[in-house]
Amino acid sequence: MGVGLPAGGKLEIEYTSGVWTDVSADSMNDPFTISRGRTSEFSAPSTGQLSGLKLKNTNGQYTPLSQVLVDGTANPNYPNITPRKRIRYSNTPAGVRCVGYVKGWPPFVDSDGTKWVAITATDRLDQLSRITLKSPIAQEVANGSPAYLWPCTDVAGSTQAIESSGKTPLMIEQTGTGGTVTFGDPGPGVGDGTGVTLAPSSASAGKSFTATVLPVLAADWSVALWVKTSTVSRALLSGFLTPGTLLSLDATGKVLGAGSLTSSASITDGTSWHLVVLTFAAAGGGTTTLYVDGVSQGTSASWGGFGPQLGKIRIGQSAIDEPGAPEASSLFAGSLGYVGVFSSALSASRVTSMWQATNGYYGDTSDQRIARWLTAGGMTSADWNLDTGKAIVGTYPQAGKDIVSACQDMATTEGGGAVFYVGADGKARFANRAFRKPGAPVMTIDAEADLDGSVYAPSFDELTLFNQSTGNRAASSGTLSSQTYTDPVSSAAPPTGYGLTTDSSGVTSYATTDADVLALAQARVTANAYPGFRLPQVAVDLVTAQNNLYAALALVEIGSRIRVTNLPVAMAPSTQIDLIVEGWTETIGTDTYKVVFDTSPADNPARGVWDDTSYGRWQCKGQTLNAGITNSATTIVIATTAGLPLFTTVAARYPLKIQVGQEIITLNNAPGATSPQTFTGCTRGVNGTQAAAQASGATVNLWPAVTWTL
Amino acid sequence: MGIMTPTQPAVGDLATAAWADEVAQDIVSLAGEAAPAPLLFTPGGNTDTPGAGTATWVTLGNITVPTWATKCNVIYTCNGIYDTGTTSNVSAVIKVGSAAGGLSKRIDAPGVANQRFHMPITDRVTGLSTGSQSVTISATFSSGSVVRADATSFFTAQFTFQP
Repeated sequence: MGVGLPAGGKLEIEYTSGVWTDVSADSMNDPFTISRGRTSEFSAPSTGQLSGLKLKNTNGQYTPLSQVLVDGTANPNYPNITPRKRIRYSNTPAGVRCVGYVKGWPPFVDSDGTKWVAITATDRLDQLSRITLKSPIAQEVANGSPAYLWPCTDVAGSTQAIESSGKTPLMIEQTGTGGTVTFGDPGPGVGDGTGVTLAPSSASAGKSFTATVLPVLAADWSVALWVKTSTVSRALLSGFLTPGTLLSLDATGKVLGAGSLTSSASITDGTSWHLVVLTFAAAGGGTTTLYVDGVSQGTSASWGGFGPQLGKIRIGQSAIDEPGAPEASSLFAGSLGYVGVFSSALSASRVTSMWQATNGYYGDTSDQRIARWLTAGGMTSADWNLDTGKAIVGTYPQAGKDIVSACQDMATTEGGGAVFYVGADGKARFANRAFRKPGAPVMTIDAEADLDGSVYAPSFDELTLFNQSTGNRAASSGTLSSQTYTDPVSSAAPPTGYGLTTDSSGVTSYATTDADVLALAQARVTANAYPGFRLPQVAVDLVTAQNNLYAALALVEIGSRIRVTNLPVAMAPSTQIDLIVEGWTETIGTDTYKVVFDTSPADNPARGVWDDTSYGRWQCKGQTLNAGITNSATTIVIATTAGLPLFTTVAARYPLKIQVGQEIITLNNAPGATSPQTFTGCTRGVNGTQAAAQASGATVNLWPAVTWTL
Repeated sequence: MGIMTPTQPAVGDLATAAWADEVAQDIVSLAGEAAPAPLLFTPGGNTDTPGAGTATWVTLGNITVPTWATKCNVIYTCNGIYDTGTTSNVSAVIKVGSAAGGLSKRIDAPGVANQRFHMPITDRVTGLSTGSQSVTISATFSSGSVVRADATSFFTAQFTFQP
């Protein structure tokens, strides 16, 4: 058993925030492994893991809860040997390879007396999977840490609105006689539950709410509520002390805030929910800001640095004129939901997010939605690396889902191999569907010089075959609909085709349009209707590889392209194969650094890229060899069916690659202008393919044949 | 909030199906036979729209529909035609063989008898049969007077085929 880490390796533990302690010298190094990713672009990545790590515990310094070491001195690590401490492994020059959270520190003693602790750690996906999301409005309000929140989602027949953490409820207050309070009416948001409707018999007689908000809030505060009404000149919210009415509606339905701010537009349309927020920040002389529907309507300094203290509030009635009977005026008529009081001045971005929750975030791009949920999980933009999503997302039933499941659903909706996972650097990563755009490989592995042959197990089978896929658009994203796409050639009965094979898992999308869902189903079929030669796994040992691949490893992500060159003839149809990385396992020992990549085939078919000389050409049609060629001929004559476009005569467009049978040929020179077109000086058997005799009439394709993506 | 609408792709963007029609048209326009020479037709004498029902008004000539084409965009013009009265209510549609355009457009006469006017229309014809096809303008009588073309009038049609 070796001791220590391979050259360049470093193992650190974060006992206290931001301070990383190097524990490399304690690694016992039975090889330990770091794994992340998935085996197919249609599955979700597993939680990343660091496992098999052993730390020497000779003096008991890693024994949990142990305050005193074997030698009787104080344990410097006490009380930090606890679960969820962060551990990271880095390598120079491959960079940080893993940031995990320790699951436990079980101590062991071998028969020879060697003491050690076994460490297993998981990445942040494990943490995020334990956090359950609330409905959009409830989540956004919760993100603002309300001191009091009355969701008003109480069942029909309730006589008070409970406070979400059990503090004082909103009590019904009667002014004059008559009027009703109806719980269980439609509420704001999407999936955010019911609301409450206040229907006074007149502006001066009816019911409203009141609550005591004690202890007295901090100097900064905010109030927020969702309203729907068609009645003007009524109060929304008032405080106990001067200046009294904090929020009300004027005679045109505009919102009046703090006596000096007016919204630019009326909100008394009677059909839509509106969010009204008033914030007060004591710093800088005291600033009051009114927000309506997420947009600032202006600020005021009229209160100075001493704003009103919210000892008691009323909802739906004007200023309280205590002592004595309640003053009857301006009773609110309409619906309410999610009334919140905050002991901080909410930021403009927080208010905007609260407003965006009102329509269930409809119209987000997939990455924006993921960012919202990661925010709910306590992360900030420094903790993630999200590509801009291409898919437009509708509403999503997020209440009760864990963050990871919800984010994976967004990756599925994005489609095209998009993936959500935690990268080697510990940041949440979302790669969009354009990430697999064809291009240069980030790592090239020479089969003779670098490849670890023990894992070489190519396959050519029907495991990944399907030629019919159904995309379901979830009812919760707007409309329940189902789109099915079938590849007619592949689904023909054998021996002509492969027979109809349905994508058993199907796909559920939360996109806003049926067109997106159909495109998703088509993309899945396109990539799987024709089995390709696959290398499900590729292994390389960085220590023994003849080429230095450490720096390239730092660039590998899920969705990256890697290339295997120099494959022995007969082991593969060509000597060069491009693969897409779906995941990998690193096994690190004293004298080994083995990386096994889980891969899927690249370019089967290639995705089209606009204006790209290799991947931006559309397939030709109706082209055949005008005469047979030997395996060494360099002059090729291609005939084109009358009426179809010919090969271009523009010299700058060459060299250009074509495929005949399994052979790829480079056309180096422009041909004549009429069919049949003669190409001289062609290069045979390129890209690792074998030059072969080709028959007259053989079909000519461009290489690679590109396809539409989503 | 909003729905994404297809925009012109930038160099290096992935090629998405949302742009399929535009690209098909671009490719077609690169092929020699995609845009055949325009048709030009002048009647030999008075040629009236039917006084009742639907009938072929004028035959512009023949075009060859490529074997790969299934639809086309067509811009056609009726030049120097006139209303024989003041009350014509006649609609016209272009046909390629038996495939008719999507628009049956009322001929907008100026409401003055015998005053010549022009009418350009852009249309799309789907379900084309391939090979040589006759191009006609079919007219449908609704009410009032008929519209006339004569030896001074002429018709043009320009086609762009698509797969």
